[in-house]
Amino acid sequence: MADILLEVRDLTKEFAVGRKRVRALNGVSLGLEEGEILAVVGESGSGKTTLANLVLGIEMPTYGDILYRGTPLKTPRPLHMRRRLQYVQQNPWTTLNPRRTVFQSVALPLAVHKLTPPRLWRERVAELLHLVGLGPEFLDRYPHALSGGQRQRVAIARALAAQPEMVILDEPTSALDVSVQARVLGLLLEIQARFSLSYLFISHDLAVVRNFARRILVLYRGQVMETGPTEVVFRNPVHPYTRLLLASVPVVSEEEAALRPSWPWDAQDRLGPGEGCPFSSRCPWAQELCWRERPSLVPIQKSHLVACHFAELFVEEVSHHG
Amino acid sequence: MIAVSLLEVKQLNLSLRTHTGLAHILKDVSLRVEAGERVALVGETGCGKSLTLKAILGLLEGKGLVVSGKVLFEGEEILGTPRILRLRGVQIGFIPQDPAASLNPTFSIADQLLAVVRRVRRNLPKEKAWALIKEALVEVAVPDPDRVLASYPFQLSGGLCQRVLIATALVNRPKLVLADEPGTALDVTVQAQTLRAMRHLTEKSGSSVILVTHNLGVVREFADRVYVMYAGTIVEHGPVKSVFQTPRHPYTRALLDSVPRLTGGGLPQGLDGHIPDYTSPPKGCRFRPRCAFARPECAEEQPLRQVAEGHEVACVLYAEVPRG
Ligand SMILES: Nc1ncnc2c1ncn2[C@@H]1O[C@H](COP(=O)(O)OP(=O)(O)OP(=O)(O)O)[C@@H](O)[C@H]1O
Ligand SMILES: Nc1ncnc2c1ncn2[C@@H]1O[C@H](COP(=O)(O)OP(=O)(O)OP(=O)(O)O)[C@@H](O)[C@H]1O
Ligand SMILES: [Mg+2]
Ligand SMILES: [Mg+2]
Repeated sequence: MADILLEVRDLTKEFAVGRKRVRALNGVSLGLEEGEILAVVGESGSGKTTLANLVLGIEMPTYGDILYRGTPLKTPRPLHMRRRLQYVQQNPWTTLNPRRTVFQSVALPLAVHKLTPPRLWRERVAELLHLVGLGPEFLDRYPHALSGGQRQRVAIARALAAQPEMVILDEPTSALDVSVQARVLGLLLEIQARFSLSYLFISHDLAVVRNFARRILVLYRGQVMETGPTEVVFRNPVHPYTRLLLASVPVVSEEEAALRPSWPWDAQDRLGPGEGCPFSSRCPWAQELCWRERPSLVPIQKSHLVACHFAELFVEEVSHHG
Repeated sequence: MIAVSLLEVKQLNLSLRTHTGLAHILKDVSLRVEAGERVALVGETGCGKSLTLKAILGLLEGKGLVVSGKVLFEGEEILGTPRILRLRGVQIGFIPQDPAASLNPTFSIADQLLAVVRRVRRNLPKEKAWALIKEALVEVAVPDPDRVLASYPFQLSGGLCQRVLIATALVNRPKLVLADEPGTALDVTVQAQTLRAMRHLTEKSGSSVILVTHNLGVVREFADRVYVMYAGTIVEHGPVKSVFQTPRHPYTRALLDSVPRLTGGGLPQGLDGHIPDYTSPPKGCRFRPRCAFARPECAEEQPLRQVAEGHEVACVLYAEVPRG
């Protein structure tokens, strides 16, 4: 088994909003192996970006631990950690400084981390741009003269300039057209394999995740609902929320439609959740126990974990006969 | 008697003056919507989907605008006529692309919905009008309509704003609804619910819909027929089944091939290049510079040719196909 690069234990983050406290992340644990792609999926507000910010040290956890190669990370992150752990942001329109040329943006990590002597910067940046499919004519352009896909490529080149071990990709393609998205994702996979990088891949697009990540972690209101190898979870989604997510994906073929779990669309939302399962208000199968008690994340099969009191309802019998 | 389509757009051309010159965006766009039909208009960002809807609705104006063609609603011209002003919001509902920016921040949801209702039923008693708008919200699956009616737009989530806009567009039971990317900015679960609500409601009232989207999955889930747009031109159209099962135009195929599949099988290839500069678009087929099958004839105009029942393609590859 490969080494665990990043480990997150019981990570919790509360924000003060007026007098109230909002729990953006609630007891999340996960491990990312070296050279692995782990997808974090969940709807808007489920805590995906908060998780990224905590790992990057942009925010402080309320409690919980973040370990890198077994060692707790210091805050603020030391320079060598800031190099190893790179970030590609959600929004291609704000990710680059509008007053810096492409060259200046991509050369910055080279300078900060003293990776390349200044006289070789231009050459190195051109090389990085080539890697992401951009010609040298882009060196002196400003972000306003780039398309969304080109900006994301520059952001990826900038992350690679630091020679990272791990990259957090926060919805790197959600603002792009499918035709461009496919190119950028393909590029990310190529780079990952070539430099054996680890990705924490944040996304809400399950079809993308299916084809991009080896493992998946489903977040709902800051809690892990289900996690496991992508193929296993897609073949047998167990948590009702995972099933709802999959049932909601608009697909382009009958074969995919047949793969989606059925969902009782006409069921009404009920009481808001108390201390119990965060999904209970939207769950058609919720029982009294679900309002009252938060289910813990338990394995239903090796490496497939689900937080649902009634998980057995949806676990398919594994057939050994063919 | 010749049957008249509910909406017919004929040879719509639209150019806009920009700081780099005259942008020739829409070129000979023709489309047709029958009563009770759900039609999708699909294409990449910047291909002219929103402009097409706005042209139909008469929402474009300004010095730099050059428009030609016909837009017939129930057989009567509405392009550039005052008639569209009477139809808009009454017979033709509109769900704009940006829900948050489309609601007036200074009025409550109730006031905004009431104003729309009053355009048709000026003298409806207050209680009846209130009951009507409440029902309109229930129909789009708003869980607590009273709270939403009392709210201002900024107090509502994106999903709720979107549903309010759908309710607004549908409350007067228009014959035609133009929906610009409804639900794109929303979570998949909310998007699925929004589309179901729209489908259910338009079925109930027999309204026709033009749904604009860049999501091919949404097209397949929602529409009866689809128009595929590339750089301001319709490159292919037909019944959804026919177009999805046997896409003919290289652009339609590339677009479908770019969609990652839930069944797995690896990431798709995608498509190189980008939409041309509208100030000097390529002559003939506008997809030519990105097309793997391009040949010299592509520089000539390519008319739409029928390749199957109700399925037409504008591509030289089908020039010799016998008419079916
Ligand atoms: N600085 C902050 N102050 C207060 N609340 C915050 C802050 N940052 C995030 N939150 C709240 O925490 C929750 C999780 O937010 P987060 O941005 O992590 O979600 P997300 O999963 O990234 O959503 P999206 O898909 O929309 O990007 C939300 O309810 C959000 O409103
Ligand atoms: N007022 C305007 N002035 C100049 N150009 C415009 C104007 N409105 C739109 N355009 C241009 O016209 C083209 C078509 O725009 P339109 O908004 O119709 O695209 P769209 O297909 O709706 O794209 P999206 O999927 O991004 O909404 C784009 O290149 C756009 O930049
Ligand atoms: Mg986020
Ligand atoms: Mg648009």
